[in-house]
Amino acid sequence: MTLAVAILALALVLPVAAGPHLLTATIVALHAAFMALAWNLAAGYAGQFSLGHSLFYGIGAYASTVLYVRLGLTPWAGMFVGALLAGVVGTLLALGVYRYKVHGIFFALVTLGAAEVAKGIADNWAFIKGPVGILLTMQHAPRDFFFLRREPYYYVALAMLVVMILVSLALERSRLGQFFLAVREDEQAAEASGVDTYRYKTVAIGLSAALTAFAGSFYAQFYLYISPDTVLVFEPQLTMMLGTMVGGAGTALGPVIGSILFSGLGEALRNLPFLEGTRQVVIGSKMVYAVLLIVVLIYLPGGLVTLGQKRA
Amino acid sequence: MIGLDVILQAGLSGLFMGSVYALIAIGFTLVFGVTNIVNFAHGNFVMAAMFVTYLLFKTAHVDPYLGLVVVLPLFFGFGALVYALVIRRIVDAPHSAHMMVTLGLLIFLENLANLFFGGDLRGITTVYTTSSLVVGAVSVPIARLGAAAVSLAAVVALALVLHRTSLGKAIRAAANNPEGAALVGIDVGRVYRIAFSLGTAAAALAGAVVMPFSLVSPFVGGEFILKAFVIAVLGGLGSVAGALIGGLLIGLVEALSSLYISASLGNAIVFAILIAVLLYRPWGILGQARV
Repeated sequence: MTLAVAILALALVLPVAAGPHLLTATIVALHAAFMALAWNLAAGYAGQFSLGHSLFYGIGAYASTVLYVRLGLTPWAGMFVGALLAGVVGTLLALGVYRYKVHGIFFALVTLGAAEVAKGIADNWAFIKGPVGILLTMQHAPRDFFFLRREPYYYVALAMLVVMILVSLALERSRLGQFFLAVREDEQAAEASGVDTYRYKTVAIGLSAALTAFAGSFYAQFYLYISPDTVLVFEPQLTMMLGTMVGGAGTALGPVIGSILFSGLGEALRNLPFLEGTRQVVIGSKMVYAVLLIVVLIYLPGGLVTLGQKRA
Repeated sequence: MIGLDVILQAGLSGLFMGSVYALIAIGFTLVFGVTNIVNFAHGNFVMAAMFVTYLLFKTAHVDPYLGLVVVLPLFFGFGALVYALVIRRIVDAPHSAHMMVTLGLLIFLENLANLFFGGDLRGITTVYTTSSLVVGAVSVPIARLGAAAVSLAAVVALALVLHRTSLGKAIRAAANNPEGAALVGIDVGRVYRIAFSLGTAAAALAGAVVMPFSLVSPFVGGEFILKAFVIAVLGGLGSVAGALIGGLLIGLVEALSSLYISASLGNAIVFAILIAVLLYRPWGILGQARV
């Protein structure tokens, strides 16, 4: 507990000491950790390994952006609309898919297919400017979820992450969380014990989808440009998965550790003064991640959080 | 109104490309059928072979088809290496581990290629790259015809191996019932390794024959694996004949839809097909319905 407080205190004062590059690196890392925890809700706790979460990320990014660009709605509110929309889409998708009893790799492929279909549609949808994407020109700071300095973005990302960690911890201790675990551990046994697995799997996906959308909105407001090629591709999904699986799925801390490891390291490497982000370094670091991913998954299938834990 | 000759031309092109897709998908589906592992990096094996073929041509002027003498054994061995180093250790792991580890392989290979070759698209120009035969109303590009012919021949060869040799019987036995196969004395680990190597070699063959008329970059692997997914599922995961039919079908759908709608929309349709198959008939066209 005291360790958590200490880390939080450190995190709160970090912007004071950090230069612009490190600050950006940590913002990216916090954002990645948030996304990972959102994916972890469905994949880690409920065992629903989705490959299509970019769909929800994209819905979040586009919803808040389009509402702002066309209606002037502040993204502070727009992101909640996006989350609601993503939650509805996720729920409907889950309701439809789980009816057909798809599991494991088949479920993963359906979600992947859904995300690809969404990208294809987005690329051809004039209303959202198709493949050209949307450039955000912000009018008012901070009313429009826009800041002139980088520090406020850091605090927003930090706040989002803290909330997400608390949500995960609360889920772990709740009845809903127990139902998720039951579904993950042995769906047949759970069903036989009277757990409505159809319902809880759907809830898991819907909840996870809504939360992922927040991350999409943050992305839009931070980078101020979105397109199907940036938010509806596999990259966000990869970020979520990498962090969660390496850190430890099904825990509140695992995805955070994993994401900070991958994202923070990557951004920092890209900006180190003496290396000056040479192409080779960036590519080489990705190769190192890949090897790390493979090694961790083979020898530490529970993720990095299990390091130092006693074997059962 | 699009004329019949244009449709015919597109259809032919679709069948040619579909044959290559089928070969790629067969390698993928073979590995899944036997080892139960979804190899996300399969498309990157194709990409790697394309690059090796490219290199052989650019440095030593070796024709892609001649280069197969090097490429095929090289990638068969590479597949065995990957199996021994990585795949072997996750065979008993849950599906999520399979996906993540092979994704790791995908990332590794993609970045390795990026490191050496950079992100630009590259191609080669052989003597037959632009030549074609005119047969009636359609023109038949030689390079694509060759690719299709070799792919189909490889499919037949693979089918013969699977059904007419004792190795093939061992592979099918291990695919059907690993424990039973082990009980009757089949070295299941060795069979898995050979199946994986065969799958990799199939991907490499496809990559090599595609090079005369395609462009390669470190990032083309993604498109190949996505197509392989759709085709393998459509045909029935684990079914070689199914993957052949699926490949030709998807090739046709892709070519014909490009006449009327944009490529990205056509892509979306292909994935909608995938979803429909996964929901309504997950065992595919030729798979057996399992409870």
